[in-house]
Formats: sequence, C-alpha cells, structure tokens
Amino acid sequence: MTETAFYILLTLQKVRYGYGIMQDVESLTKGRIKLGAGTIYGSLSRMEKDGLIKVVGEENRRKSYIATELGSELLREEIARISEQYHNAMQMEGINDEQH
Amino acid sequence: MMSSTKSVFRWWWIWQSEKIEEWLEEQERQGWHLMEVKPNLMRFYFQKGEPRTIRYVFDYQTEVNDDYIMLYEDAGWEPLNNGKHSWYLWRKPYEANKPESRPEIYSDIDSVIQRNDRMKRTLIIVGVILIPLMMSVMITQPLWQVRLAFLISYLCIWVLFMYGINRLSAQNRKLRSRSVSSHR
Repeated sequence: MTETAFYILLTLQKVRYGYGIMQDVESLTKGRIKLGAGTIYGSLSRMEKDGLIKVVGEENRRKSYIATELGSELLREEIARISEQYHNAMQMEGINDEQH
Repeated sequence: MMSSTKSVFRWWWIWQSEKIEEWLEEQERQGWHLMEVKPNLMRFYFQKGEPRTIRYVFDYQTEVNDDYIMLYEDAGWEPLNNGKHSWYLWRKPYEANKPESRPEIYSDIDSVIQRNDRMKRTLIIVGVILIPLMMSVMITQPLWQVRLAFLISYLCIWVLFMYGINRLSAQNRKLRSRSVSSHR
C-alpha cells in the first residue's frame, strides 16, 4: 500500500471531504506530507472504484467520503505489517547497539 | 498610467507541459500577469504589473466531476480555463524566497504516471481515429497529388504521435524506477 493510500484510509475512518483529508494528513505528519490536489482527486476516484471508500454525501458541490469495511480491513492489515516492521527494526537496533 | 499588454503565441508539446508551466512562471516573475488563454491553449494574453511568484500547472484530466474543481479551489488553486481539450490550467502563488514551498498538484509518483498514461491514451485514440479518415480520403480523392499530400501529412502526424507516446513511456519508466526507492 502506498503512503498516500494509507493516510487516506486512516483519515477516512471518519467522514471527510477531499480538502479535509489534505489538512488532516498534513497535521498528522507534522507537515511532512502535503498531498497534492491532483493526487487526492485521482486516489479518491480510484479507491472508490476499488470499493475501499464510498461517497456518503455531497454538500456545496463537495463529496464526502468514508472508508468501507473492505478499506478498513486492508488498513488493519497494513497497520499490522507496519507494526511488525517497526518491532523488527527496534530489535535490530538493539542488536547493533550491543555490538558497539 | 497606460497599462501595457502583450499577446504571445507559444507552441508546446503535450508531453512537455512542464516547459510551458515554467515559461508562464517566468513571465510572472518579470511582471507579466497572465490574463487569458485562448482555447487553442497556445495564445497567451499578459498585462504588465508587479513581479509575482506563481506556480502554473496544466493538468490533464479526461474525466472530471464537480469535486475536481472544488478540491483544487479548496487547496488554493485558481482556475484559468475550464478544461478545453481536457486541459485544466491552474495557478497558485507562493513565496519567492521559499522555493521548497512551490506547490504541486501531484505529490506522489503514481499520480504523474497515471497522468502520462491518460495523455498516451489520447494520442493513441486520435492516431487510430485518423486511420479511417485517411482511408476515406485515399478512396474518394481522384487526384494522386492530393492523396500523396494527405498520406505524407498523416505519416508526419503519426510519427509525431509515436514520438510523444515514446517520450511519455520513457518518463514513466524513469518514474517507476524512482518509486521503488520511495513509498510515496
């Protein structure tokens, strides 16, 4: 899963519209990831087609989205994978520290 | 004070949209404010004013809904033409002394690859549509000189399109090899 898709699914655990996702991701990553409008637009349409997110409303010509059950399931799997990576990395760091 | 204006015709290839974007940015830096773009997307009208630092992007979208316009506007982009020939010209100011804040509409490699794929698809479709057109001229045109002229111009267009498709594919290969080392 790309970092973009990961953060879109993470923020779409609650109802958000496109610009809301951009703001959330920027504040979550403390400004490291500034999602481009084109990237968000393309990702949302693709993820909607793939059934990972769905449109829940439309207000002032802006669609609002939320993650589907399938999207949330994929997100949980990705979080498990990242945690494993993180724990393994920490373990490895511990070994390297002992060697020094 | 008289305000001075200029109108410039500038040719650009669709597989090099960043060249025209940079040119527009340079015009603004010299104080030429873009006022209008003709539907051919190659004639630009400017008015002289203060130098500005503005990022221009020509976005290529074949399918857009209301959400597209709203999303870009929410993100601070100003629309300059409403999607003539699938091209959307947007601009957004940024700080001159902060080149790292130069805004982008695509923050990941995949989105750029997909944009290039959309352009490739258009080139292929137009190239294929031209085939029956060419055939009908070949069949109905009695003068061989005219037939030859059509054939040559068609072949020129075809070679150009093939070149464009090739360039876009090369760009995508480069982008893909970069995306291996980054998750974005």
